[in-house]
Amino acid sequence: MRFVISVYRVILFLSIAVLSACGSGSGGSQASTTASTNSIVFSTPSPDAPTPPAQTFTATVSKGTVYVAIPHNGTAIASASYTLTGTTAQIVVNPASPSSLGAGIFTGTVTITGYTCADPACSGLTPGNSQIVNITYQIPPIVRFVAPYVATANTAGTVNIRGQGFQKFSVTGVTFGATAATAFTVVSDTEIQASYPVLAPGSYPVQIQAPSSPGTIISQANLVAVNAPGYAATTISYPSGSPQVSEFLYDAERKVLLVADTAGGKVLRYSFSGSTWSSTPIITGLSDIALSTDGQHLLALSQTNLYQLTPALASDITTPPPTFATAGTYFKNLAMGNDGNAVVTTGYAGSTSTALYVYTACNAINIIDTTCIPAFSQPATTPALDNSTAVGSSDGSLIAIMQGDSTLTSPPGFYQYVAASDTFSAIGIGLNQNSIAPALGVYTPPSTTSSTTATPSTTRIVLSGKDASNNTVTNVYDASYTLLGTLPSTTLAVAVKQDVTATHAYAFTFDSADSKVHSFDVTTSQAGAAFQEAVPGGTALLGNPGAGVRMVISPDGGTLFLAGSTQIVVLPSPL
Amino acid sequence: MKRYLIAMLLLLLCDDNALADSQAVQATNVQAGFTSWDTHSSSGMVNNSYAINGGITFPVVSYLGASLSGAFGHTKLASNPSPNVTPTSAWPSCTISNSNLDAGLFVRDPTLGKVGVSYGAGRQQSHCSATYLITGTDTLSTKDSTASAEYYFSKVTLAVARTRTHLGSSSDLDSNSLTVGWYPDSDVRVALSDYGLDLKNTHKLGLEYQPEFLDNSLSLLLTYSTQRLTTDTHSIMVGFNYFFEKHVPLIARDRQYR
Repeated sequence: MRFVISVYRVILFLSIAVLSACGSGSGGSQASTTASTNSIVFSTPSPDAPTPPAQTFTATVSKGTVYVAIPHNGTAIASASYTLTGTTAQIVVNPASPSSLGAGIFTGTVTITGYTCADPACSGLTPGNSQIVNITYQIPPIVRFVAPYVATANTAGTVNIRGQGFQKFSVTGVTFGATAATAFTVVSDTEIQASYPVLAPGSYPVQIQAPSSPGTIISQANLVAVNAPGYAATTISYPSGSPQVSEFLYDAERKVLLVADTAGGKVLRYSFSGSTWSSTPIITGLSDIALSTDGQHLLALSQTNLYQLTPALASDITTPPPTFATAGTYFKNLAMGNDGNAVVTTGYAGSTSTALYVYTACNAINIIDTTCIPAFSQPATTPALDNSTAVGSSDGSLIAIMQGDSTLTSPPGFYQYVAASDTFSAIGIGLNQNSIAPALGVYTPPSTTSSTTATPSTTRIVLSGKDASNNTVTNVYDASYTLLGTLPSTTLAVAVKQDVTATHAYAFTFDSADSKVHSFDVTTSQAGAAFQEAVPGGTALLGNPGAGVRMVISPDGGTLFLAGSTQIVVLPSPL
Repeated sequence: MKRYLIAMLLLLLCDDNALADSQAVQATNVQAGFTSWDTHSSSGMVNNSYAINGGITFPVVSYLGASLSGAFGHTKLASNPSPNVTPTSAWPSCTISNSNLDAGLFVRDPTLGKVGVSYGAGRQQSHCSATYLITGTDTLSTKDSTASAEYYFSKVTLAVARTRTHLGSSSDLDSNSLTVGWYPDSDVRVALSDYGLDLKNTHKLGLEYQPEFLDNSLSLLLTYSTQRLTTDTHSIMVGFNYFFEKHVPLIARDRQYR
């Protein structure tokens, strides 16, 4: 038996020896990867520019490689694809769109790794070396708007500068042409408040200095300084007919008055230079007009379309409406913000809530994307309101939105749109709107590095409508919507201004009782009581504007303009 | 492969009468298991894998046994990102699923050793931006054939194996392995393995412990392996096997049941 076992041991040893004999394998190899580059840089002039083209590189793996993985990460990269020919991969990297990223420096990686089998049956993989290609994407900041874009020459003031990237890159200065701002504050990544010194009449490109920007900073904003017009009191007759005035504007840059005549379906344009009238062709269903943030377009809203006209009233861009959820909905009203967006309200024949929209206009001086297409959108906070009316402040920072219908028995809520955050919010004020448009005078304090400034705000918001007791009221609120006092219930139109020191706020009303303009100092709260007249008895006009009066004030606060169905009346400001 | 045939011929010289007194498989052994392992490479790559497996070993005739086994696994291949990536927490990764089946035949004398052959088929499927070079697709099929031999000497087992794996239809992977196993206790096995040819510079140290207090129905696995080439990789595997019905010491299970 021992002999038999020994024989088998010998045979087993021989078996082991045969199996252990070296073979003709490749002798151990590991995946080795190389790439034609280790970094790729994308750059674009601004967040508004088109997406840069894709870039390509190659990677090669060694012959022992079984598996090649090419994942990517980082916000700089939208996608990465490859084609494999033998052991060489051609990799195409597509950058993300600048508009999705905003301004900044963004990074990503594309990692190429070859793998070999980890065990004899190749049920697993072992990584070889990796080649990492670093992606860098540079998007400089951009200055898009300055609001208000018209300044009074020889008078210091404050503006909001809107754009993107103001916090991504440290802003060290603001200039108006060759003139430095006297002070500035970076409020957010999209807003700077800057103060300018006295400026002679002219156009001043607004620019920021940010040394860490990876490229030249594009600015599309111009501050236009114009002399205070100093108009004398006068009346201006319409060329024909009796317009139904739904909106009335003063274009300070061009010294032009613009009237939206919904009866005639035309925009009427009166130029003080030459005292001439012009008009658009008929716009069926015309309901409202507004100057764009940069003043280079006149937006005309009809019930079915929104038109971007040139300041001389030539047609430029027409945008059809989005699909309304409720049949019978029509465009009603619009107001411009300081970010190039307009709030557009809708109406309905009856009392029901319909959608609001934000309309993004195209800059007239669009030096970045000449294929700009205006568009409607609805931010997450967009409400649905009942036949709402939107009115914007002169600096475009705030838009007041009233709603309501004569059939309502209780007043609906008031809303506002804040341009800085592109958000709508409900304010706890219940007023059923009437024909008197809101008036807003937003006070922007001078920029200061001190955090202890005690300059009080003279922002005043005037809202008119029927309260819970069904009384017609014209209320004056501060920036926090605290009721300060009231104006006469016989008010037909309102305009608001701050004085040159911005320490006082005034409201002017056109009164139905005497067809005069009445002036009120609304600086100090009356605890909800009526404001007293600052010019007792009011100021008479050279003529009666007629029915459906709308009133506006020149940017310098020196001239009031009233437009009604009969004529336009010009009045130097009583205060 | 010629060497495998020579080895088998040597076996055929054995007088089967000499083996008639020993069963190749004392009784059918059925087991199921789970393993999980992490692999780190010096190039910054990390693999996280897990697999479930099952197998049965059963007697054919007194000296001949057979085995069938299968496994399904999942692997996540990840790369350590550059610290300057936006956002910094993102790890580019790929996932792969794999499955395989194996069948084997062997001759064994529990007092002497074992010689056998096996054949297996497997499949890998990638679920990301990745390609198997051999197929040009995200799928790889494999077929492997193995010849192996074990020699039992007291509490030491010396084992060798030679495997050829066909990758797709046009490439082969050849490997040799030498394993020395030692049973310091009848329920503990420590094994040191070394690989050659296409798996050159691969070493493995494994531990299997079958606790008696668990009625010898469960064994715990711990393995460390390393490969040193252009980049170094290190793996740690943990797992367990559950044995149905037969509850015997580990050394007996390895030499008489599976």
